[in-house]
Amino acid sequence: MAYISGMSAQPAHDDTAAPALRVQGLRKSFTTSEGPLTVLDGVSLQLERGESLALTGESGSGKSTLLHICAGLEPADGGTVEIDGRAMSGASDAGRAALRRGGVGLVFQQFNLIPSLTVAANLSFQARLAGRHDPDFTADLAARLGIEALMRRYPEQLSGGQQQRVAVGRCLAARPALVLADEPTGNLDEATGDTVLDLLLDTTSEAGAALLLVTHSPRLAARCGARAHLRAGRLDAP
Amino acid sequence: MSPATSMAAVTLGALLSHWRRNLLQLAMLLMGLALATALWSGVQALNAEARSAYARAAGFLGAAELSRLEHPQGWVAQADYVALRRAGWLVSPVLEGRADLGGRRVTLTGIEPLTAPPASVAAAPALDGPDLAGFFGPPGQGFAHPETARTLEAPQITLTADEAVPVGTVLVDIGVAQRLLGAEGRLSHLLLHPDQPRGVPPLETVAPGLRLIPPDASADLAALTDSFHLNLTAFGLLAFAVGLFIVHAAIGLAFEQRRAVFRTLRALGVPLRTLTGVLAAELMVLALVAGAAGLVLGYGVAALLLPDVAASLRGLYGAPVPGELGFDPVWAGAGLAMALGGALVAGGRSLWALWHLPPLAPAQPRAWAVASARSLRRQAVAAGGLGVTAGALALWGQGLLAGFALLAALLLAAALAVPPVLAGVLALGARPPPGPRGGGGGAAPPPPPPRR
Repeated sequence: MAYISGMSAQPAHDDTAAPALRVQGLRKSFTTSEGPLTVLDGVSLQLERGESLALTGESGSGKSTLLHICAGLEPADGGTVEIDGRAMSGASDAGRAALRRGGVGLVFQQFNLIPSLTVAANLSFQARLAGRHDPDFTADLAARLGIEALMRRYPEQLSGGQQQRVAVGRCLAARPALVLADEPTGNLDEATGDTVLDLLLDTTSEAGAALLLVTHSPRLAARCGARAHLRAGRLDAP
Repeated sequence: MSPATSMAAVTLGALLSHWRRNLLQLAMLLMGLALATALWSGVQALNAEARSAYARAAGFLGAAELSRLEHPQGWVAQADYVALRRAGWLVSPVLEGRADLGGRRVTLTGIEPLTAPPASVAAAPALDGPDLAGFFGPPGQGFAHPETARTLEAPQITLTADEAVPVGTVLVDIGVAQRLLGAEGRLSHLLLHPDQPRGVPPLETVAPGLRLIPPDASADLAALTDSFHLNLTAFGLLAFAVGLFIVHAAIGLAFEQRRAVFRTLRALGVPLRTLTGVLAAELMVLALVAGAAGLVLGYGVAALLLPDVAASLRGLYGAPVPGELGFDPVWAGAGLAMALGGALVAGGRSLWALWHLPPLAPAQPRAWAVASARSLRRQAVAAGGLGVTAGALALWGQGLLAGFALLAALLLAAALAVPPVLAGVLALGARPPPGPRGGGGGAAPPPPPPRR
């Protein structure tokens, strides 16, 4: 069961397996013309492998910032982040990059495929970076995502839904402990978005990874194992 | 392969794939750098060939090391030579003149190998051996640069090719030279042995009409042609700079197009150091390819131009420059270094911007725009500095070098100033139009008077 500060009891400490994601007391504020704006005010949460958590909140509430800090793409003002038991906070740029490469899969709203690489090359890209490329596993994943017939195409030749499937496959092919998805269906129509989310939830669960999903949609959030709402820098029940 | 190397290779593959899909852009980058390198290295090849010819000419017959005796009116009488030898002076006769050999005009240089100082015959090693008799004996032997020997049919003498002899010159025995030039009993000058015996009577007594010429004054082709080569170098440098601007634009465009890819690579776990290093390596690979092509092109251009340049140098300064280009590995290395350095200079700004931006910034237009604006400001300051330098040179500069520096400063200042000026004009054009006047409730402006 996902642990979220202020929402449920903290789980008993387990020495044998580190959680896929552990966030403790995360703080972040930005300087604006009207003074400092706090978007994260002591946020804590924990996700085990195989769990999924939907994070909702108003625009500008700090959902994406939380996701970026978890991925080590943005620094926090305070608090700690651990991926699969390894500290992201305080690590060097190379250390954070290594954690992302091997432990974190990112799915973006804009897909962010590499436009000059084929679907096949995009699919195996992060796995190759992490030194974990397994052609059979990638082929199975492509079949599971329904993109095996598109392998020689370039991203510009794909629909939005197809591109997002490739992006999901790219992050799962590296077999990460944690998948961070930032509005992955934000650029897709409802039917395509539902299909992609189904695939994301199923394949993430099958791969034994934890999923932290940022979304505006309560309907999509309801399909995750747990939900949390970010308001005034704190996590609440939705 | 180590994980780090493997990661760098995967990243490099992804970055290089951009060029595969943007061949026109790649062609522009390679052509810009290849042309810049070609023009620069071509000019350097011409200069190097000419300078090596001057050095050969300066070394020929010890002209750079030996003093000589000349007659102010031109010819030295053979009788003066005989008188000096009899008085104990260690002198050796030389006769130079233009002659028709096999239908081609050449400079005929006659020497007397038995009395010639060692420094003067070092250029023709064959004279040390048993061929000496052949050199004197009929029909007489001549030494010529291979390029000259190849095109010369001279039944009057037996020709031998020798790299040490300047192009267009044939080295023969003094007697053969006198016969072919129709200058019996006349000499051009006398070479002085550096170690003269003690107690010889003074020159004024033995041969009063002759004057002593020190070594350097007679072999100053390099100084004479200096401005010619400065012209060429300046032209090459400016062409190189113009080429670099093309390269700079191509690299800038490629970076701009790949901003989102940089963000994706960072997000997928490529460290900044690796990404920057791989981008620099990509730049170096492209620079090496373009530089090599530029060297081949430059060599071709220089080989094509050398006959005309050599003819100009011969006509203007009497400089014996061959019409055929040699290959110098140092020249090739310097050309490649220029290509690598130029690519780094052209791509340096983009690499610097990438290095200093946070991971998510490359794909954020605002962050990139702020970085670009900073860079444009620096560029404007550099343009201003160069403009001031040009002004100072215009006011106080003296000589050809200052003239070229002024021209270069002006051109570079103009090239550097164009982007900030354009950005300023665009920013001015992008400003929202002013709102309606009289926002405080005043009357609308009166309509224009009707046309009659």
